[in-house]
Amino acid sequence: MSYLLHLLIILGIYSTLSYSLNLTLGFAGLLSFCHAAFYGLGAYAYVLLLQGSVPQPAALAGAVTINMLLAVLIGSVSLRFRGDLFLFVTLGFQMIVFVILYNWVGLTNGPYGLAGIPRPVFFGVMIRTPLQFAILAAAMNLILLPLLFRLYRSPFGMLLKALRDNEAAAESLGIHGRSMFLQAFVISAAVAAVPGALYASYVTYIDPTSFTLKESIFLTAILLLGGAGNRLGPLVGTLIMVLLPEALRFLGLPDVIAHNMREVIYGLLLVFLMYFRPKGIAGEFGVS
Amino acid sequence: MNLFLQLMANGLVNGALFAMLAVGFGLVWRTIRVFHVAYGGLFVACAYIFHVLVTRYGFSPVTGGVLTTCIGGAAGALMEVGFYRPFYRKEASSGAVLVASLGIFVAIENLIAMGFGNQLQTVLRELAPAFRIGPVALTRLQTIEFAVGLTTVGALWLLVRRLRAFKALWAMGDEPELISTLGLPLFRLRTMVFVISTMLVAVSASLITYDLGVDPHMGMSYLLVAAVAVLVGGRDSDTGWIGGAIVLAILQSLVVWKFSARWMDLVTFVLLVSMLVFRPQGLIATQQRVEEA
Repeated sequence: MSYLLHLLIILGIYSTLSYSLNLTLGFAGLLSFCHAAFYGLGAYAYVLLLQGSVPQPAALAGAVTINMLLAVLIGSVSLRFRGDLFLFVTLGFQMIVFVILYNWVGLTNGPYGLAGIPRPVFFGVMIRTPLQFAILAAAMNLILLPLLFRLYRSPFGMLLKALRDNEAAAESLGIHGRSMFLQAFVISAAVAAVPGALYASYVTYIDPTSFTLKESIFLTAILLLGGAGNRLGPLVGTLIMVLLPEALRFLGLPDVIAHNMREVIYGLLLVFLMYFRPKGIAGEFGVS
Repeated sequence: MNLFLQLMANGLVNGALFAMLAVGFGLVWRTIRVFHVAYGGLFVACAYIFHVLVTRYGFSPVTGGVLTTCIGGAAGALMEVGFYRPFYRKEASSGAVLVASLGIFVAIENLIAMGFGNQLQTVLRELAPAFRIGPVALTRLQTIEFAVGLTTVGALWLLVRRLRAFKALWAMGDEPELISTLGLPLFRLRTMVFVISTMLVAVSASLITYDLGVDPHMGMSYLLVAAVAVLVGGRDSDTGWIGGAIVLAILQSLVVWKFSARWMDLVTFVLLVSMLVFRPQGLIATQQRVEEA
């Protein structure tokens, strides 16, 4: 039972992450490789603020704010570029963030990670059991996803789509492309801080290896497999990518192989999808 | 001062290896206009082929290296025929090709990890004797690495300037449709690019495996080295790729000296981002007409 609940919590974390990335990747059409960096920065900022004896709600707000500020910085540099170069600059920032988290031992305790992260407390109840965490993850999705869905359907979401499909044409209608893209980038980074904080308080230990380039590629792959640019795609992608290794484990593959096998399957799936269905299984945007 | 010279020498040796990687990557990018992520997977595959040939089948490192290079060339041709060509025929968008290429990379990396395990594997070799040139000491392997890198990259640099086929390749990068119009064999040229590129990666992978060993997850870092060297050096100029690789290698070895190896990646990517922001045309820019840009 607690295994199922654990899966639900992980699903909850990844669904929020992929829906937030959907705004930049699916709607703005920007293939970004630094979402795991924001996820990690959110987790680290939350934990470090807690250790500086900031109360929990303020620490969460602080983590979101820090992510927004850093996203403004990273986004305004990266958004000078489009296409392959945008991808490469965000990849560069992902690596820079990782190296800093890994090596700034004074602040982040480097490769040893931060342990003993306090459990969250809501209205005097300490969230401790897997069931409580599953409810918390569900609550996070129930609060954040409707907000994101609203954004998807808002004029802002439509403008992003217009810019994605033809930036020059959209700009000729008086839309400021770069500032729109930057807003989308900042919002998606800000949202990513929340699952970061949830992950930290669920596992009670974080280290930089959870927030590598590999993780960023994994998040992007969720969207590319499931499909981006609508409300269904990220869900499909998250379900496939998170449940695939578990399914392989039930087939009797040992853990080590199951992990590699999942990667092989998702790598080949990416190849076939990009050939036969570049929009992903349930998406409406194909990578240009 | 002596330490500085020593590190510069080490940097140059690495620079020669990086230059081979960068030219192999840049060639594909310049002529096919594909971000060849699978390059990292081919690196790992070639490294393991070399490792198996030398440790399991008892080939000498030289024969092993030559064989790996030949197999690498065949693998490159296979890559083009079996993977990139269908995408080209289908007129897939460059983003889709990039993602599919990433998929190939992930699949190769993990297939190898499944077959050989995740740990580092080394080739047993006797301690290489060192040469002294003034204050600088280099092992024999390092001198071989430097010589091989220098001759390969130098020969290719000359060929690019002398051979008509390369002229056609550069033109293919600008206007692929024009190639068949001119009666040139488009697909044969594409195959040639992938064969050369994969042979380059095979040579450097063999040398690096013999020197340092191999693990399945090293592909990404060498892919990034090649890509950063190309982007830093200048996207359109092969001299720039070589320059970028050498600058990158020397910078890395100076960082190790002044700070610590841990900060190496930080410097690499700060260099990349600042180059792209402040000098997007790269270290060595080719002159272009305005309407080309």
